[in-house]
Amino acid sequence: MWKLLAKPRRWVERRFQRFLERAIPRRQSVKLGQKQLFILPTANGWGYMFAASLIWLLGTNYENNLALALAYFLAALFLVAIVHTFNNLFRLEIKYLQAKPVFAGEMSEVQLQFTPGGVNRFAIDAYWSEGNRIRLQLPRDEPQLITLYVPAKQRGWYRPPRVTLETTFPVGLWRCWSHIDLDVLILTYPKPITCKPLPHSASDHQQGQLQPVSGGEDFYSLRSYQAGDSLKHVAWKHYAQGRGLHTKNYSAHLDTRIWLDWSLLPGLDREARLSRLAYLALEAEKLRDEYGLKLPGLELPPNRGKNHLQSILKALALFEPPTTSVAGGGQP
Amino acid sequence: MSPALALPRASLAWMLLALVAVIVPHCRHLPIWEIAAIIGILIWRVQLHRGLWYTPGRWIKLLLALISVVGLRWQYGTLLGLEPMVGLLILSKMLKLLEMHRFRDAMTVVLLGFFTTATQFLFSQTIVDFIYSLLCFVLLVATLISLNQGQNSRPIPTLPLAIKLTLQCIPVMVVLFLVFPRLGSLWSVPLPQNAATTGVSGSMSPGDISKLTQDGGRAFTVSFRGAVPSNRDLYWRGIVMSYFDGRTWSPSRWGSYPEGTLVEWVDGSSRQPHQSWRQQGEALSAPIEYEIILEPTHQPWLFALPLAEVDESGTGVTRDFTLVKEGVVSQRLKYEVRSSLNYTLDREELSSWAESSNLQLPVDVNPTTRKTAQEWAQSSVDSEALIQRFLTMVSSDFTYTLEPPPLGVNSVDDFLWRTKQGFCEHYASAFVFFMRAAGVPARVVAGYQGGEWIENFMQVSQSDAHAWAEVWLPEKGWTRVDPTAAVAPERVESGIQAVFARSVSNPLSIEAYRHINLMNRLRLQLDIWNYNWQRWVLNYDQEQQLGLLSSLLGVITWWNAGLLLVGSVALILGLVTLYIWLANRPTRLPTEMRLFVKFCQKCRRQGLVRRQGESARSFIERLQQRYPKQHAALQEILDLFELAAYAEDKAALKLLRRAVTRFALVGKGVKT
Repeated sequence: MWKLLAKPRRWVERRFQRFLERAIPRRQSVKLGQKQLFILPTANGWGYMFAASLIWLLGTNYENNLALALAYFLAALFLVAIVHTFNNLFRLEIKYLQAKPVFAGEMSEVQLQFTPGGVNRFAIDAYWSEGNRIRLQLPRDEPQLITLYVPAKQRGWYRPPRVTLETTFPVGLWRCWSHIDLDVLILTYPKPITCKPLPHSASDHQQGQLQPVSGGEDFYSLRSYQAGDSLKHVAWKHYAQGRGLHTKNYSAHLDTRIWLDWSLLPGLDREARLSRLAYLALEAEKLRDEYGLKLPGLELPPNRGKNHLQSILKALALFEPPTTSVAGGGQP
Repeated sequence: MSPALALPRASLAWMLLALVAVIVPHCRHLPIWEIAAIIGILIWRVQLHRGLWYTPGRWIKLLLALISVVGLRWQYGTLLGLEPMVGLLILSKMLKLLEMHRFRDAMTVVLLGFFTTATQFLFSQTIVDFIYSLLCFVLLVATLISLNQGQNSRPIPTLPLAIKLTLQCIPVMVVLFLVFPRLGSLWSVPLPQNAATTGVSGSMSPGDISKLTQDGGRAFTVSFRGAVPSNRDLYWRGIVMSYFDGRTWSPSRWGSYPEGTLVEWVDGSSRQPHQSWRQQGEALSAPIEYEIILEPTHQPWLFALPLAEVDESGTGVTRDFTLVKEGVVSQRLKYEVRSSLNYTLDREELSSWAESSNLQLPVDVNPTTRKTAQEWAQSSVDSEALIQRFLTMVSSDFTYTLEPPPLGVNSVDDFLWRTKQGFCEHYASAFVFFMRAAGVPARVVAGYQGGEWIENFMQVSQSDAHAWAEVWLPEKGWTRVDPTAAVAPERVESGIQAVFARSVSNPLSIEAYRHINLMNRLRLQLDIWNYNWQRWVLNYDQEQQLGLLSSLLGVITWWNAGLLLVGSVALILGLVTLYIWLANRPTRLPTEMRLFVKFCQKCRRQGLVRRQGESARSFIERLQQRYPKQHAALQEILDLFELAAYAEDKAALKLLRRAVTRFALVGKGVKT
């Protein structure tokens, strides 16, 4: 039965998605208007109206005007609640500020700014269908920064599905909600997968050889001075002898420098390779090693530090983006 | 739905408060043990909340439910009456409270709370009840709000919001009440059963009516369409009593009736020809029309001036030409009556069965009275002379009192020849006994006499309860004789208050304080409100609805009536929306601030933006460094702004406005 309905359900979902795309287009900042808000009774609301109609029957049958008045009061509350519930979201402004880069499969912190627009707003739930749900209370006149969490499912620029804002305030009879697309893009690194350290790559053949490295300890050679060379390394003796301005080159052993090389992980598919490279980059950073990245068509020279790690992870994240199946994020 | 829908803690307090408020009015008719059980469950719930006691297990809950059902069955003998059902409703609501864990359970409890309030109206419908129930609504709405505000948020001012919501609902409720289509009763329903009967009852012993008089309370209200009869004609006939057992009068219990049915019921649809005996009641004057709203009496009798006719379905006329209702009057009843005050009853002849039943006397009681009556009958010319002689005797040395001395087994003998003090039932009873002993058919009539004019309606109170007599005279038929009028004529001319200023002695009845001017005014005002409440709210029905709609719309169609309903509700909701937006309007900045903002906007156009959190002084000083030529103008603005803002200098405010308007960072006349 469920399977039989799966096809029409998917069709309905697709239609709904397309409708949403037209009604609430992708924007960094959304002000909830009439077109963006939906409102329907909750299950409790239906139960409430059922109780109200029972009281109405009671009043009618007993020809009891006060019981009728009570039934009408309940109906009135039902109607008045529409206005209040709707206004709790109406003209609320939500702006996407930034999202923290994460590894695939982890929760990303997404920062949103809520501007109440002069109305006190109560008990608004904001959530991604797979993320956490938080309940907001927004005093009027002050924008509020809210952090929501959403799982980043896929490497690359991950675009999470629409975020849902909903409220049943004040009496829980109606649910007013909106699904908004805030153009959230989460830089998602490949999910790290543990592996053994790589065999030393290109440097392996020249083991024992010295390579010029800035910051090395042993003197290696002289070369003519170029702008930007450290003055500490200028060969002042040569200069004093009138042989021109030269810079002293120092060298270090290559052992400390790691090349995270795509080609050293044969027999694995693209994602598996990237995941292992991400793991190795993290390990290298932890050990304070210098490490560089070699991908087909891309090479980042060895270095270390947080920024370097980030640029390597970013390169890994954006390397040959995986084909997305559904707009808004697919399966990993 | 969200996973963690645990109930907010504040909502339990609201809920308990609301539930107690909703149950309190029901305590009037709940059995004592049920009230005890409710209190027990409340304590349990509070202890549960404090984490001291445990949630009852499934078997305990089942057992409690079973005990409640058995207890109610035992208390009322049935479960299908109104009282046991309400009792069950309240108990099940309380038990639900014990197993309330989730949001939906809480919602169920709140809805049961609304339902309990609705059933309260089946027992009592006064203004006070309604105002009280509005308070209950506020509490129930507050419970809903507290349930929906979530766990961790700052507490929302629940009560003000609940009051606001309730007030916004009331106009919508009024519109729905007035315009929403009304259907009559759809099926028959159980009515309050074991409520005590009130008012004049179907039997009369010495002391009954004087007690009723002292208890006080409203019996019914009357509004006359045209002329109002004088007080001495206001004999509200209720029950005709022909059977006397020596102490108590009661209506005769005919097993069968030779002339047709005993009661002729009003048949709305097909007007059947009147029973033949209806011709025995002959109207001699044009009828007066009036409407009576009778308080529930839990008895079948309706009260009206003779000779009365009604058209309401469910009512009927008895062979004694009194009015009755099918079943009992268990809710306030409105009926229209036409009465011809000039009439004759059974003028032509009194059938033998009627004669014998109206001459019936128990054997062996009141021998002195019997003997005297027979002697007087022989020495009198006719029945009327006999009556006159009796009334003369009564008026000469009898006393009219609310507290007569007790009477023995031969009550009439004791009263007529020994104590000579009595209230109306003593006089009526003695008179009828005397007449019957003398061979004149006579009977006791119980009802009310008189009434109090309040604004444009008449209110008849229990203190107006009265008993009088009817004798059958040849050529005249049944004729009213009120022996009380002989002993205390002012009772009949101007009402019971003229005789006993403080007839009502019940301290709970406001009528007991008539002699205090302020209290009496308050009582009259309450009566006026109550009357209008009954007339315009409680008795607003399909007929009045059609009247209202046709006065608003002219011709009523489904279309324009529906449009009126939807339109007015939409209008109210629109006003509510407007109110929300006006109430939440951003607060207006003070004038000097607005002027400064204007100044900042002018600077912004030149690319000079005031930084976040930068004070006015440091901003202007920054400008002065950048535009040294404008130094003086900027300084002026700064000084004026500070004067206006901190010294609240009104003159500076004016100057500031001019300065800001004139100011231009890079202007025509100014070079930078």
